[in-house]
Amino acid sequence: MLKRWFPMMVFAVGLLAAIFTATLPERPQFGQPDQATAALAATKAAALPASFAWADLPRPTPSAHAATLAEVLPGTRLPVDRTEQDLEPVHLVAAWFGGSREGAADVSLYQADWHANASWLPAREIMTRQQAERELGRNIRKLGNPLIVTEPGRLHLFFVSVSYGGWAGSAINRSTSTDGGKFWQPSQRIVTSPFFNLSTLVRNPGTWLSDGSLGLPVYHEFVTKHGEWLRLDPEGRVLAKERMPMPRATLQPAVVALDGQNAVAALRDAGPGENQVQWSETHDAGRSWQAGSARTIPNPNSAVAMIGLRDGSLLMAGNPIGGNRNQLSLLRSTDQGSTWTLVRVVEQSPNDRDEFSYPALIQDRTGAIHLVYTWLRKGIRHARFTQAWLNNPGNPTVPAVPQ
Amino acid sequence: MMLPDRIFMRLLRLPYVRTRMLIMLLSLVMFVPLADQLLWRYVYGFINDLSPGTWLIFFVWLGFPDAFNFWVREELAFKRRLILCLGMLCFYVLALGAIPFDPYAYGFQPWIILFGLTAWVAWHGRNAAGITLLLGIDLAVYALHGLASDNLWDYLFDPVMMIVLAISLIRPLMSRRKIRSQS
Repeated sequence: MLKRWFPMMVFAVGLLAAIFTATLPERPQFGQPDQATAALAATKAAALPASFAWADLPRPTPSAHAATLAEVLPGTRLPVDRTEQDLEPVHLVAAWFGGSREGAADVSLYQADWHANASWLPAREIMTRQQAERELGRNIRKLGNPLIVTEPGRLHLFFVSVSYGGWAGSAINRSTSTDGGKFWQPSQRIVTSPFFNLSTLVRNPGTWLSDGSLGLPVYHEFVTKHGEWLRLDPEGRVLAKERMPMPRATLQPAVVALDGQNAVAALRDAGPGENQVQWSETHDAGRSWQAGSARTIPNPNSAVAMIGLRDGSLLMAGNPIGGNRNQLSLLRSTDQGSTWTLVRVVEQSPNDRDEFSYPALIQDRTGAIHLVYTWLRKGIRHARFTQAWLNNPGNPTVPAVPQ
Repeated sequence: MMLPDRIFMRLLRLPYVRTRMLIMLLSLVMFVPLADQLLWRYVYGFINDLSPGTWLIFFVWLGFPDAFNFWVREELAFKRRLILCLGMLCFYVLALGAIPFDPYAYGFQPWIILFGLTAWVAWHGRNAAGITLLLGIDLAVYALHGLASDNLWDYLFDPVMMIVLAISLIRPLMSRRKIRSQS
């Protein structure tokens, strides 16, 4: 008798256990600073004088690509007007992949640190292919895009790895650091796809939600190309996944939250024919995404970066020219992304084969804006400027390209 | 007195012993170092985590066919296997982005799936004790977070199970074709 009912009993126990452990996250809401903090931060950013400077990051390898940038934040959430915090120099960490060439077996992830009023510190290898194999317990053929996401007291490193095939066979992995990127915890794989966990890649930073979870824009390349939105709990568990449906093949969503419920995403156009920056929107904090009409910004199938500035405008970096990546520009929108104006050309070259691509943007706590990008696939370049420099586009700075 | 090699040859004639030796051999092959790591890591790099159901299928199919005899007296009918296999195929096609609807997303907050499984077991569980037992094991492993995935679907089935099901359909399909051509 007991034996006959055994399967039912096992099912009942399993069901109860599953009910107790299944996730039921809060209704999502984008984390937003309170009005007083936002106003003070806006005043500080606006007060910075117009300036622009650039520097090259260390080049430990012949090839470098796909840089990410994040600011190390103190361990506790301090109000933005705290004097102690202002006295601490801004600390940025950049990471990228480098080796003999993109996709080669010798490609590793590198990290370099920058403190305000100082030059970039030497690059450190933070993840090799062999290290990833050990930590993830599987063979890894190549490493790809890294992404650093910051929160007070902790950095999250997401990176792409491929076991077999090309980039369409990618999966994402996650590691964390609680000492500003000096030491990274062993990485763990994030499972986001049912079919051999194929084809989830990461590129642009995520947005923190009010419950402490992270909204992370990712993308899928196998069979179809589309953006996706993951919601991860603070320990990296996947709470939810949503597709960003688009009429064309799209990649690498860059998401900016406008308020608690609304966010916009600019996407790389990977479709055929004339390519433009594609657009998507959410009005329920990422629970669903709707395709918007493409923006009239040319996009030669290249990555774009987008952030919300302290003055409420949106800033985008990309290659707004047809066909090639030999011009990197900044575009700005003051109407939440409906219309865009090209405000600055950061770098350009007459040679179509030159590449200034894969930009990453952040605005640090002092209000200064930082842009890092792939420079001719040989290295990573850092441009630092202010809102005032953007507001006065009379004299666009175009650094000369060394031959 | 029987010589050891004769005992070995006699044992080898027993089908279960042969199968188990084959499994042992295959298992040992997985630990062969290839380049800078074991062969298993190359296999794991491709297949990722297997669902508990697939492990049980291998367990039963390759070495211990009598393990669940009390609850499973006959193998799953051809039509049910076909429906399951096609269902999995549709699921993967949708999950890979064929249309905007993504069934995989429902596995992260799996309340609908849990409700569906409960309803199915309440309706049909007593007549399908093997599957009920399998589902119970899947849910228990999910609750224990036994795989890297946070998605319930990954605990219920995986692409390897779909491939195994598809292989198991080949022989019945071929014999049906043969019968049709003879008549």
